[in-house]
Amino acid sequence: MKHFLEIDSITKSYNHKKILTDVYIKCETGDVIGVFGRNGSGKSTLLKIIYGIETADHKFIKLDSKVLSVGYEEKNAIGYLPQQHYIPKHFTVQKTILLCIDEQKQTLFSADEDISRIINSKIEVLSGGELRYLCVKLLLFGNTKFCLLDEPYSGLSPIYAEKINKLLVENPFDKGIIITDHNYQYLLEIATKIFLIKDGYGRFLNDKSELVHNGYLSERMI
Amino acid sequence: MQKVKLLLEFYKSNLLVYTILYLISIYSEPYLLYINLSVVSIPIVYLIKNLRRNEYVFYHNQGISKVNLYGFCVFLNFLISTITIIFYEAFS
Repeated sequence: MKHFLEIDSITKSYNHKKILTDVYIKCETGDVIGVFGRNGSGKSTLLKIIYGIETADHKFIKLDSKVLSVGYEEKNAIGYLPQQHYIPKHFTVQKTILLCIDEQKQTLFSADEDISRIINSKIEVLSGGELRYLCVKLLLFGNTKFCLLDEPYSGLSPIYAEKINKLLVENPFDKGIIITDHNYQYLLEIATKIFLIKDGYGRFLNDKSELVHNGYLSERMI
Repeated sequence: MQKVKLLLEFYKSNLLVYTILYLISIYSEPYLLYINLSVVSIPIVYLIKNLRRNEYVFYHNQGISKVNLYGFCVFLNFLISTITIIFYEAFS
């Protein structure tokens, strides 16, 4: 069964400067929406507003037919990967899995070689890549229908970026995913839809070449 | 059950604050336990937790709101205060 997350009329300003103006995105389960935009264009703010940890001047968020006031308060609706690490450092990987993943999915989750290798380690000793991979996988195996990923490739070696992309392409539980990242090459590889925020306005692009026309990339970059 | 375990983990992460307030109350005026553990502890914990705001996302991702987190702490502290007072009254 398909689910829809509809975000409409998102407006946000800081100190009288409009960061986001009337932004509209529609995401359905199975979609991987790549959100592009220059530094400070409001990509991360947009994800935080959808999730509910940042206020907006105006917003309208609907999951299927239900209007959400705070995204994360709706049961099994939206998961969020912030830029910084968010799992308590004193937890072990195993404990994190036991707390976050349903019993019937735990075996499948831990069968992965990269996870089984670190299963007894504490979160605080994991490398940036291992931790990011774990966080993304936890979200993809969680019960939410939609995932918001804020810079999942940030600071990762190409090997781990590839692994994360493999996970996102597999998308084992058919979630709707909205990703923002400056590593455009990795993101373009997996995005099924491209969304660009420019001058506060957001719109879907038909093709990655439009990123050039809109001044986000130069021609030699694609 | 997973949700209760997560709430307990949040409670455990603030155990130091609760223990200090518990000891202060028990050695001065045991009836202060209700106020210290259920009321005073919350803003202290809230301030400490605000230094690591991202940790909330971990709980939010499992469908637990701040109201759930702090409500559970107040409930558990109220329970602990009541049990302590019962023992205090019985043995004093």
